Amino acid sequence: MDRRELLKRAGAGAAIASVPLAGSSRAWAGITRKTATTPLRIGNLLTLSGPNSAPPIDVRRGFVAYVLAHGHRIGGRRVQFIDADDGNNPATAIRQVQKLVNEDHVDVIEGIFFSSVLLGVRDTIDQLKVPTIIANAAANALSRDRKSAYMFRTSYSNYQLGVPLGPWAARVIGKSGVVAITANYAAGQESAAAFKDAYEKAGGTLGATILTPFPVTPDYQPYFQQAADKGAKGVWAFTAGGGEAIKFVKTYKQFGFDKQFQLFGSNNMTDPQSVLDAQGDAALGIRTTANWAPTLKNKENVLFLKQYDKFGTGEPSAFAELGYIAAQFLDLAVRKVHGDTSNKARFLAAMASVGTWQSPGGKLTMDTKTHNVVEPVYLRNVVKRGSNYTQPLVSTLGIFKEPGA
Amino acid sequence: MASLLAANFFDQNFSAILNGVALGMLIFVLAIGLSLIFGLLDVINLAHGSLYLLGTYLGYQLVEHQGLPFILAAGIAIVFGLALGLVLAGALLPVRDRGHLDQVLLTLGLFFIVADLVTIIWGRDFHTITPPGFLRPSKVIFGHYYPSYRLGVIVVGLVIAVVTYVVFERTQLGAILRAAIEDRAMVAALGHNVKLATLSVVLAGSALATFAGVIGGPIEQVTPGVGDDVLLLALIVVVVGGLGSIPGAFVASLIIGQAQSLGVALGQEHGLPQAAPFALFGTMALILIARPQGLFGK
Amino acid sequence: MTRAGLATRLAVLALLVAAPAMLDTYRTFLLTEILIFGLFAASLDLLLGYTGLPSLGHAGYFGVGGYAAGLFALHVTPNAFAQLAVALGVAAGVALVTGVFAVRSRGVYFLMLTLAFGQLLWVLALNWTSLTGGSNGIYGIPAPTLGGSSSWLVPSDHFYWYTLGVFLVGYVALKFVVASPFGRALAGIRGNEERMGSLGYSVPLSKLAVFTLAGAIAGFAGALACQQSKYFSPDGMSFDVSAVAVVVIVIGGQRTLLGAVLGAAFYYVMRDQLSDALSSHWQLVLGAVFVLVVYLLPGGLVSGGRRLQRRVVR
Repeated sequence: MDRRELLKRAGAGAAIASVPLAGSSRAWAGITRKTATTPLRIGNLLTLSGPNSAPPIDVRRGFVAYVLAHGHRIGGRRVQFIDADDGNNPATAIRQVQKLVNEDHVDVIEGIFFSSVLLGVRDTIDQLKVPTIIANAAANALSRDRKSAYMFRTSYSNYQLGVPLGPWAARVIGKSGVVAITANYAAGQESAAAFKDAYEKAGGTLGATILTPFPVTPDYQPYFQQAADKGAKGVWAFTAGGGEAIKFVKTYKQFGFDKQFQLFGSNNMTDPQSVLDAQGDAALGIRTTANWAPTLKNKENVLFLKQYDKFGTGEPSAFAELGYIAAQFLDLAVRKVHGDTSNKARFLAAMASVGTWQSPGGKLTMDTKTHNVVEPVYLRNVVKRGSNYTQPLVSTLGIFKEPGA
Repeated sequence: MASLLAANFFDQNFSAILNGVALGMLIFVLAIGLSLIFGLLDVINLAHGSLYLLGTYLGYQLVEHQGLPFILAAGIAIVFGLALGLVLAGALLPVRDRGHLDQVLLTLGLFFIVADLVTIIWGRDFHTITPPGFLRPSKVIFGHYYPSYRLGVIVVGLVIAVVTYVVFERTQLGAILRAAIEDRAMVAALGHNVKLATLSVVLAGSALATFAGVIGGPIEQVTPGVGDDVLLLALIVVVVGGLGSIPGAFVASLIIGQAQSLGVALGQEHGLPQAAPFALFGTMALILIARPQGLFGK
Repeated sequence: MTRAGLATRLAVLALLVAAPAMLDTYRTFLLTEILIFGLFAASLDLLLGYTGLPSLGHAGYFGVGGYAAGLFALHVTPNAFAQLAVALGVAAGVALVTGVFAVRSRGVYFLMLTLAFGQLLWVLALNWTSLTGGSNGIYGIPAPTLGGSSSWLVPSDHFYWYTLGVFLVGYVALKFVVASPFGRALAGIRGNEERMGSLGYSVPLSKLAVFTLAGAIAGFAGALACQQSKYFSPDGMSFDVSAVAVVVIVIGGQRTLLGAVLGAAFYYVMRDQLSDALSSHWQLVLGAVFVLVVYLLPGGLVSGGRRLQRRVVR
């Protein structure tokens, strides 16, 4: 079947409920009513296949939830999605960007989950001049020496993931007795460096930074032992997601390290909910940061949860919320140009000047200098309510900004 | 070097050593089938990782959703594995004499299909299997907290090793199998039913693989990618031990297990943390350079 | 070569040269990738098909070439040919050193030892952050240039023609090797190693030579891949890349070189189309295709094509 024909057919489909979420067809429409305007073509560049595709697919769901909750429109225009699976491989992602731009003629690309993919496609996106919204990949470089006029990040940089717990650790754990354990890859290294920096600025002296092999660590026990040998009272941790996070937290509990030090760190240690459920009792009392929580009381969050509930896939993850705010940001930018994205310079200027908006996770501001969002970060604590594990908010750690250098 | 022999060596590395044994036993249970299928059929069966994957998801389904006791789930997985073994035997027999590369393509194809079917049936989220109640808490052994479930895995692995050894060395079937690994045609000419013996090995190997999936669930977790990881480990163990050699696979399992836990622990203690990511493939490369036919290979 | 054979070859070449005029920018990009991966797979066919050495770590040398070209571009010169030369040299060097150990083993042991070397190179790329940038890879690589002209290679059509030229050089070199006395010696080693030894050939030396040569050409292809994407990361040399190379050779047909290239084309186009049609479940169908190829098309695409040809001619 011809791709264009496929698009038309998908556009004629009637029931919104049939919007494919796990992905059956690559191109499909999020709207049924016929209008005069041409649809806004959005490329979803995400890892949609393979063992690490659950969180990226959550991002996609969140993005769709926003569109469905807002009259099936972005900036007043109908929407057409075109899925592009990057397979968590930069070379594939570069090919997909070429395809999205040269064959599908998308107006904007959203998504990009992994940092290596982000850095891989950066030059191609810059060269092809396609407006892009990054919904998760956190490499610092993109807001610094690899900043692009065409790319905006609505999630966070690794720096923003690492800094918030620095002053908290100095206050709660102490000025010494803190050790960092991180998965030895760019995201972990950058976050750990930011944590160390912030902890030391708050007067602390970090005991050590312990690196665990990436992508798989067969046994975490020796690394926890090393932290214990350094006299840790608290361990800040950044783990690779999914199965590694489960193994990490279970090892912490099963080998009795929970009796020696407090574990705290960034959100991928205990997110999404399936990871926390698998960790179960082992995760109780672990403190992690987050940019959002289902319990936040604001209008957008209520709307988000209500819409997401219709998918019947359970409570949204923090990754789903990242997709939602990427769509929110795009909506605001397209509105600023009254739906006309044909003048790219004007559209980009609109994206840069979106300013502050209310997201499900609180007030966000697009920083015109770094093209990276300024955002509140919350502290959570794992507790058990009935037979369910949840992470209620403990406090707000502050508003954090990527410095851009 | 002196510190390696220090009096507190075992005390200091107690958990790491036991973890290495537990990991080794898990891989060994998976590797038995892989090694024997290679020895008897001369087939590299990459789909062996899929058997583990299906076993682990079945275990997750039965224990976490159906509420079945862990041990019953492990038993059901064995029956399920026997059935899968029939399918596998049917798929592999036509390509027995087609060379290793055709087999790799075929079994890789099966591996892809199963991996994707698993995400269709169970989704892409990450899960675990809760161990049986009596093995859930950690115990204090020689002053160390240690998860009793892993001790259980070590015991089960040792029992399976002993049973496999006895079957191989002390029974009529074992004698036929050993002879068939050496010279299949000769054993068949002597009037023994090699086909039946081979089929029984494929079935038993498959059942052990799905069983390994269940007992591995609480340690390795239940994730869409876990089949890849354990398949690689099992392949390494089979080759390092020497193709078709069960004692070889047993020794290699222990070595590979220790390389990844005790090796890493020693690296941490002695200022060589950079070596950890190289432990697995470095150990394998060194052994194969020193013995190009594997530890027990001919 | 028959006259018809020559005519076919010239027609194919003309089609390849004219391809960008007939394809859109994306398809030209995809064809460029196919040529690069085809050259890489063909270099593996030299080992796996012609010599009977099944390597499962060939991506390691592809990666060494990619990093060598990328780092040379970042720190020394954007000159495309200089990068190719450096990549060729460094990949040959690494292949030589690892080959010394690898060629001593046979069969599945060779398979797993090369797997270990490939994975060790991958782990090295992942962990030697100061040189390779770790998991982030090397980025911000300037576009390659050809001598005086600084921007000629930037349009994708031009880069395609450059790739086609480099591909042909590599492909013809491989053809030349397999047709040479050395190539016949390799076939002898595949058939009966002991006999070749008793005939006075130095079997280990021949194996080492072909291992180094295959590694060098893999590095050559890696350099092209880096020049095309102006980026290189450990993902570019992971186990998957080695496995896919083996897969495309088996699909296309061993011991033909052409089969490796056709297999690469088949794999890339198939994957591209399946990924469009099925989004996240393309692996399922691809796996089924593998299974069907083994059962229905023994000997791969090339032998299937030949059978078809014979039937038509009759």
